[in-house]
Amino acid sequence: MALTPFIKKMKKNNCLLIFILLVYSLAASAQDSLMALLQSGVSGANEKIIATFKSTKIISAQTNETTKKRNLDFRVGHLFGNMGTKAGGGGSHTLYGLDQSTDIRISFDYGITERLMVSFGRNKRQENLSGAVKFRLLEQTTNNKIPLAITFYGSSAFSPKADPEEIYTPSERRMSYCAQLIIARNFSRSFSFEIIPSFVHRNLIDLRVNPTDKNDLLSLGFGGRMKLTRSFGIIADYFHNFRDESTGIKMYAPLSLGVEIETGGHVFSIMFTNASGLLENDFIPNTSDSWGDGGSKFSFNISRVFKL
Amino acid sequence: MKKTFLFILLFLSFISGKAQLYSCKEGTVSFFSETPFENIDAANKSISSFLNFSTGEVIFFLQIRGFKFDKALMQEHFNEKYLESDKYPNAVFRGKINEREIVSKPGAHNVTVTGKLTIHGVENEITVPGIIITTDDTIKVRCLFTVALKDYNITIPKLVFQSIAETVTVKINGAYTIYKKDEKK
Repeated sequence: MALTPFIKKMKKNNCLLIFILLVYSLAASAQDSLMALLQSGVSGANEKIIATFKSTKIISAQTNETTKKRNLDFRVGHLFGNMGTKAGGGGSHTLYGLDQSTDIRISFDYGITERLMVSFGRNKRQENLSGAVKFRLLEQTTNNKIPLAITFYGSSAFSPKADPEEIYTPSERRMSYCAQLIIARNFSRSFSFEIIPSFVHRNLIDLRVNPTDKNDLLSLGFGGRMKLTRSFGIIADYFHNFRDESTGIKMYAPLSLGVEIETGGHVFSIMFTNASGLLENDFIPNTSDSWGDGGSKFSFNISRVFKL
Repeated sequence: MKKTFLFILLFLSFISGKAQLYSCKEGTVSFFSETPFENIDAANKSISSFLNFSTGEVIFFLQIRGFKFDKALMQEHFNEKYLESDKYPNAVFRGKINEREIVSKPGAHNVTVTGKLTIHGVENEITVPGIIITTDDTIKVRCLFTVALKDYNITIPKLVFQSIAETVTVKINGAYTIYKKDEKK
């Protein structure tokens, strides 16, 4: 070790001990900051927020969530009949709509990547066969550098209904489309909220229902969830349509309220809604029942996720 | 002369003291639990750990979010519902090797480590067995112990259908090399 000349040089220096002490204190402080060192060695202050919502849908509204990579979400939704008699079909003779099924939807959602999901489903109403893609454009981070999650959802539906009056000729008339931007934020551990600018296009509209109806419809959706426990939450969503409804059959804004129970693998939602269907292309433009007239319906949804 | 002697003594002790600090460059913490319904298995490589052979101190730090599960949904529930990693992002162990005199000698040593383990914001004093394999340039550490969820206030909601075991087996595997201060990970 070439230490000796160094020592000889320093020997006369009174600062020697101070120097040693300094070195030691530096070494000591290095030991003290072991925790800081440990934490700096592990990155990740900038994590993505997980589970803004428990599932890919709140009630009627899509959420920013997509099915995880290589996971298959089997979903069954059921919408019973009107509860009240004024809106038609309800009352005690149908056990407040439970004897009827306004709509049934069975769908399969599959996560191709962590951000891209595809969905195929079939509805009772209009016999709609639908395909959809959902893509996470932005994901909210814990440090708020990205304060919002933004997900794109696009669906198209084909109605293969029997057509004796040739209403659906040419067959392009059977198609309807919906595009949505889901802008969501997880505000706290229990509260998440989203707004959903939506665009619905139907190739065929029924002017007997509303003579001023247009093929294109803009709508703004709102949805939220308040968790009461880790597994149990209150959910709600609402859509406001921007169109002239002064003529024809009155249409209403679909409002849904319910609870969701997540049991690890399953998500059960139980709700009441005045929406007339379970597919965006359908319930956004076609909700003709109102809460005020007893047009609310009991509805449930079951989601079961499989890892493939 | 006296001062020179003191200096050399201090310097040597400083050198040797430094040389006794090892950092973990490659390590895995995994846990496993078995139930009739399904097995839970997750591994975490985002860990940071130091071993000080002169004092026998061991320190272990990991991020809960670093645990990777085979089932992504299980991983989400693990973070969101059970470990609450948004509230308690880390797990820390600080302890001492009880047989520190023997571990610096080359060879494999059965040891026990006693210290405080903090998970889910709850601190518990634990003593766990392990094996330390000392060679010239690396220290290998293996350790296997069980953790009871209730000790760390991790509860399973009543609504969960799949049974989740009340204890999990934790496995630690680490390779340590001498820590150099200017080295950036």
